[in-house]
Amino acid sequence: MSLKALRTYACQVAEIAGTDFGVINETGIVLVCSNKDEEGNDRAAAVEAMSVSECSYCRFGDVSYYKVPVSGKTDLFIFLRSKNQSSKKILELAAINIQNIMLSRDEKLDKAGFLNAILADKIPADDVFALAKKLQLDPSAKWIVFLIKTKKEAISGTGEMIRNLFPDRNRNIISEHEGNTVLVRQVRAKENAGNFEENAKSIVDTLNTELMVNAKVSIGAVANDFGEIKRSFAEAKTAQRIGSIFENEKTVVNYEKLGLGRLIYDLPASSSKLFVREVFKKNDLESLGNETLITIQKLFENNLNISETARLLYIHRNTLIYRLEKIKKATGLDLREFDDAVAFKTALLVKRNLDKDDALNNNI
Amino acid sequence: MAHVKLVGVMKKYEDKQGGVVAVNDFNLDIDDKEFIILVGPSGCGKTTTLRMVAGLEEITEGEIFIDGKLVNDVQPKDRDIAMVFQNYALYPHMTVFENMAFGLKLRKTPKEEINKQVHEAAKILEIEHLLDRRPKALSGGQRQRVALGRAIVRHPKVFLMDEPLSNLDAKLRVQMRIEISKLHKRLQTTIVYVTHDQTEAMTMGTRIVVMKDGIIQQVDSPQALYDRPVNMFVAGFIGSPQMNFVNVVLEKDGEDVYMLYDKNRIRLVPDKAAAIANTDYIGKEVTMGIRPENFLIEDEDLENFSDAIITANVEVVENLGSEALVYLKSGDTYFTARVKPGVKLIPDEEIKVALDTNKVHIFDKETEAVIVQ
Repeated sequence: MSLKALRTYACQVAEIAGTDFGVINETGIVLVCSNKDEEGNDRAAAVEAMSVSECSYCRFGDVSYYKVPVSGKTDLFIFLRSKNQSSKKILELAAINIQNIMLSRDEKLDKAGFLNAILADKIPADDVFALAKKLQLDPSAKWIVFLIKTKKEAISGTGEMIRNLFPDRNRNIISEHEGNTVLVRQVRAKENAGNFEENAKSIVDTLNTELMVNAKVSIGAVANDFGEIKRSFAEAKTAQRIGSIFENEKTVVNYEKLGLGRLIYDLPASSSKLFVREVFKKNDLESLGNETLITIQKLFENNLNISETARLLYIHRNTLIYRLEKIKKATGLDLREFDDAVAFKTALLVKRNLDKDDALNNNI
Repeated sequence: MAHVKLVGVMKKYEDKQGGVVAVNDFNLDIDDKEFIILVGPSGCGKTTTLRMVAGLEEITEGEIFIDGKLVNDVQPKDRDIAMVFQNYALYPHMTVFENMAFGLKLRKTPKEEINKQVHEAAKILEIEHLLDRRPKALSGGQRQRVALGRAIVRHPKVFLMDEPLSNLDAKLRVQMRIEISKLHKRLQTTIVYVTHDQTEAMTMGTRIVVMKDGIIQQVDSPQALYDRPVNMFVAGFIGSPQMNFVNVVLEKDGEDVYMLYDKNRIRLVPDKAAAIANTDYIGKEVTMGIRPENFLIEDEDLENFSDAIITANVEVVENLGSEALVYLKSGDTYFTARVKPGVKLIPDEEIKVALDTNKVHIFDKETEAVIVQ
């Protein structure tokens, strides 16, 4: 709680009580007071006396004091310039108020901090459940991790926006980790991959339109309880990495839908190069031209269905067959044949993976 | 309100295999206050183009100007634009007012100004009475209006909308289509709108940009696109049911030109015949295109177009109330005809159908470009 906020609070209490109200720290210094002249004054004698006393309430002269224990220890004391009977009640109410404000602040800080500590492996697995419960999170529920990548300068705005999109603090934890915004969301009954992808698309579109920043979201697999959150986070990270190679144009990548990319990502470079040479021989893929490559892409997306592909490309069936014949002439592969299509598609992905490695090496 | 200009814009995804180009040599002048629609099938590059105008996607080549200012290196938030996308989400714990104000708050707009802008936008969208409600208490259409409101409060020079109605049901989509058109008239601002739905494009846009494979196919008014498509793609994409196509051989007989397919011989009207009579297409196969409504079955029409009659078998008749769609088979070719409702046609019956040869289009079979229309 900032001093400014504490001062405003002190003035509000003083106005209601009709007399000066102030807050003292554990060394006896007046932190804030409705009467500004009091701030910085030393009230150590009263604080010392109260510290050894078992009573929460004491009166010294015309000033009433009250202990404010926060998180089990007394860090703050409050006072009211009054010796009326009602002063004790006013101080009791004020103390409860301050405690609640401090607790809610700690809770907010702790949830994000707790998540970061889990992701950084700083909390022993045995403690995760107990700590989650303490923070009013359901550790036995299913959870899912969304990793949101934006430009560095947009991270704080992103966090704020996600907090507003997912405002229930006991079901959503938001933090910043390794340059990403992390959203860990409790899974509701009957939710599935479709719902998670809808969530992710909403995040992207809202960041695009409200914050006007580009964003990519990767999704981990569902964590069956809080103990699996770190695993779900690692999966979301893998999805982010593999997605950047094989599906860079996509804004949402789901770990459970990485397809062939997942396998190819782990292939050794030497065998990858051999395979690409075997399939494409000496043909340069770029020589096929943009139109042909789009045609191939669409053919694969439509399960090699000629009529459907022609319909989606708004071209005549015969035009599509003519283009496929041209590809056959150039590469020796007839993409209408399942085996040839599989070889071509796999080689395309392997080459993309190799190109990414080359690009990375060049960057280094 | 602003003029938007794209000059030689190209987008290439570097890591995409073979360097597939998403948008290529895109040149377009969008007038101030124009409602322009980018339309085309999935993957044609329309969204990428919109995102490049927004600044959410870097351009590989070319230049984009908004209101005369080159914006290639300008951040999206500084381009004076506002966007409405498909998967909009409202903040569930905020009221409609707070939802509309949120973007302005992020921009540190003064409170009084926010208040003014939100109330103005709410008035335009007729949602003033909903300002205190939370999203849960709103209907789908009202939520959509709030999403539009979030864009309006920014007072942008250009609105960019990417399939904003796709998540609505069919009835609501029609209603919101009208709302957005009315909004354009009220706001008098430039709107760039992306859709894959040609009906949406035809009903909303002052001009339509038809795209395919990252390339502009044609830019024109909705009616001109329908009447004078420049190629088979545009002809097939615009109009529902789509234009019928059949491969025909052109034959010259004196001044006349005939189109032959199966056992049918169709005479072209004189002006179309004159346009093609002295070209290399005579004796060659070309593609004829004809819209469903240009098939005629009334006795009077059969007399008027007596040299453009084909025989066809009735396959199915769909009576839609205001019209009937008749699915015909002539030789190996299938046609769809649009006729008056209540017409007495029986499936499997062989009938005579006249083609309104004033309305046929002829395309080059290889390049698919229009030869005569």
